[in-house]
Amino acid sequence: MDLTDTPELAKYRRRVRGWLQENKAHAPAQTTGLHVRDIEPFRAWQRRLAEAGLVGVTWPREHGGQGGSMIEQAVANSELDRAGVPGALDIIGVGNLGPTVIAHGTQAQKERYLRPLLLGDEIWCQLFSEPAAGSDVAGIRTRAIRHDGGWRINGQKVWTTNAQHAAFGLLLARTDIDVPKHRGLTMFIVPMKAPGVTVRPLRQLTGAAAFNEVFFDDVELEDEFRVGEPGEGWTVAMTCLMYERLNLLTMLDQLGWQPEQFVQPIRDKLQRADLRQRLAGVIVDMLAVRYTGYRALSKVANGDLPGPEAGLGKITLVDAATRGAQLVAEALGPSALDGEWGFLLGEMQGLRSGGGTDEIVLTTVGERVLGLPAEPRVDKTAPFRELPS
Amino acid sequence: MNFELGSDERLLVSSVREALSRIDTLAAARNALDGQAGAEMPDLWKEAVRGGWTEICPTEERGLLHGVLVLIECGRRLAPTGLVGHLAVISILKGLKERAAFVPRGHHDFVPDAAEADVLLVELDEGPLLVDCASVRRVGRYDPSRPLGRVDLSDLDPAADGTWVDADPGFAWNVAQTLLAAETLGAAEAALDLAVTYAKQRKAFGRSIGSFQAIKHQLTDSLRLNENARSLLYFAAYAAQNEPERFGLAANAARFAVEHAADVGTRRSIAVHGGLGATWEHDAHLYFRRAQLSRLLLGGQTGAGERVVSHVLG
Repeated sequence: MDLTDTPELAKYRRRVRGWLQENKAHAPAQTTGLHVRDIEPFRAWQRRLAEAGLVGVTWPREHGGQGGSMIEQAVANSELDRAGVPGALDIIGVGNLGPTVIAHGTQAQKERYLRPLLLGDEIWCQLFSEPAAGSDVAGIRTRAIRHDGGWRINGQKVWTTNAQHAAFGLLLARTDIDVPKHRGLTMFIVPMKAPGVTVRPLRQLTGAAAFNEVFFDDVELEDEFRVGEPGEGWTVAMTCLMYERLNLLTMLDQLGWQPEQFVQPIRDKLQRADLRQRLAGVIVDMLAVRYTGYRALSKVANGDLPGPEAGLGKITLVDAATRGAQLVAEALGPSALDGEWGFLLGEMQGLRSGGGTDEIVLTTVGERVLGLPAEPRVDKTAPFRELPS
Repeated sequence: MNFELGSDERLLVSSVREALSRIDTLAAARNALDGQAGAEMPDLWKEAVRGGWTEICPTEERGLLHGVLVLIECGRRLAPTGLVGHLAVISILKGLKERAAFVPRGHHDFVPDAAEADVLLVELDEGPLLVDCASVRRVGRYDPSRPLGRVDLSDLDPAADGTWVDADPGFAWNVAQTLLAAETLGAAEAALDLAVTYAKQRKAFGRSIGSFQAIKHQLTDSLRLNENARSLLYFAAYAAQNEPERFGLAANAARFAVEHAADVGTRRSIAVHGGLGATWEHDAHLYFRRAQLSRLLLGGQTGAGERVVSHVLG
């Protein structure tokens, strides 16, 4: 067990740190957090980072990446964090969607889409969740029906981050309702400017609109937009979710959050012992997220696939940040809720469901890691058309 | 960077498990609780010596990590080895051969491992003093599986009775916090294992109770708390060697996280077992007792929380 860098990694870190020293003046002033209003400065910054090899570190060289390890990407993330500058604008595209295209896409798709994605020229969004299918992703209802050698798409997606900025989306659609739900799915790439695609911002409880609803009305797609075989959509989606877990492991660094962030604003207001105890709990949990992430990252570096337990870190993080924001507001008084602390407090309540609710994470980890038996289910074997809607 | 256990560390864990499996410490813990005549807990110091665990030096390469791993396993079996006190002492008094325990300043009561130790390292205002004739008696009946002592220093004459030691008692304190936490985490992990096994076997309403989300989510949340705590123990073990300025933060963060995980986890373990978990004959309450008492020792969870905040405030 060791957190120190190998000589090669130390050299890599020095190079990244040196580059950031020279280039950080070009970075946008604010950190990305979970929500960006004016994306252009972030887009330009992502291009600069990608050209320097600091995002997409694990991507193959032929697609503009560095062919590096997860550990190198983690080092790059931690140096970005240390320099106080944001990372990639399109975290989801670079982290989850691009690698899914790399794993399942055709050669033509890889050549067309990957490089502009990495450079930030074309932003991507993930079109999985629907109003009637969140935790139960395989229950989606958006239909893709074969039509004149291509496909016709009808349906609705929701909670789609960056859809308002996106050039393309990775769309999970139902292509067969006569087989059980997991077997009737197919993945597509959708140009977001295609006729029949409508993006409507969805305002969240914070007042901001980071999410969108996306509607598909008779959207025509040629077969070349299909990713993977018809009926193999679930497998492709699982690859994407696996990369999402990998991303979660360095989430703290990517968000630029430190355990100390809840301490600075209230350091003169800690006379009450109960506030100090609660602050300790927040700090301890934030530290735990970081070091549990390092453990999981080490497993990946040793050749294991990231397990579902990565989701547990998000539960701890959302809970700790919620308690931290409440604590700051309690120490500073009600006016703190008018500013960033009220925003963070609200934002965490949405993140609790983002990328998997606490409940679906606990169910999945309970079954896969602790080996607890699954609940009896009727929806796994019956044809999709027979399921109650 | 590699922040998971290597093959040598996994080997150490299995050798400790193997050694401890030969003695039914859980049955002994229950008998000791019953106060049956002659039903003392077995003293596993000899096992610890045989395993080489008493020679683990927390300041050597990965030494504290090895100490943490050994004590997690001891905690799983509620096995009293005297290692928390002993390893804390040798962390600042390398090469000491006698069985030792650490008596921090202001913590003379309910001191882990003090009653069985041959020598005590007592932290006085002037510094740490090594003594071999202090008066110590066993205290506490709530969890007799881990001996605790009350140290009486009223007759102590430092000049005549002891030897001053030129070392940093703060380091020993952080080692003690880390190892006590490791031992308690072992109990929390064992309590979770018990509950998971039971939740798979026990049927109600035509299915295993572990298939119900109400049970599954509680157990998985305990896994989350335990793994968070384990990560912080690794952080403490790492910091002791590589980031000494963060060792205090790491040790106290680990302590705080462990005590919370063990409190919640051992209570959940009882609850998942239903009425059975609340019986004298079941092991669940042995772990529960361990957790409830541990969170009060050496300044307790609350003290650890205070120190976490102090470290961050700087």
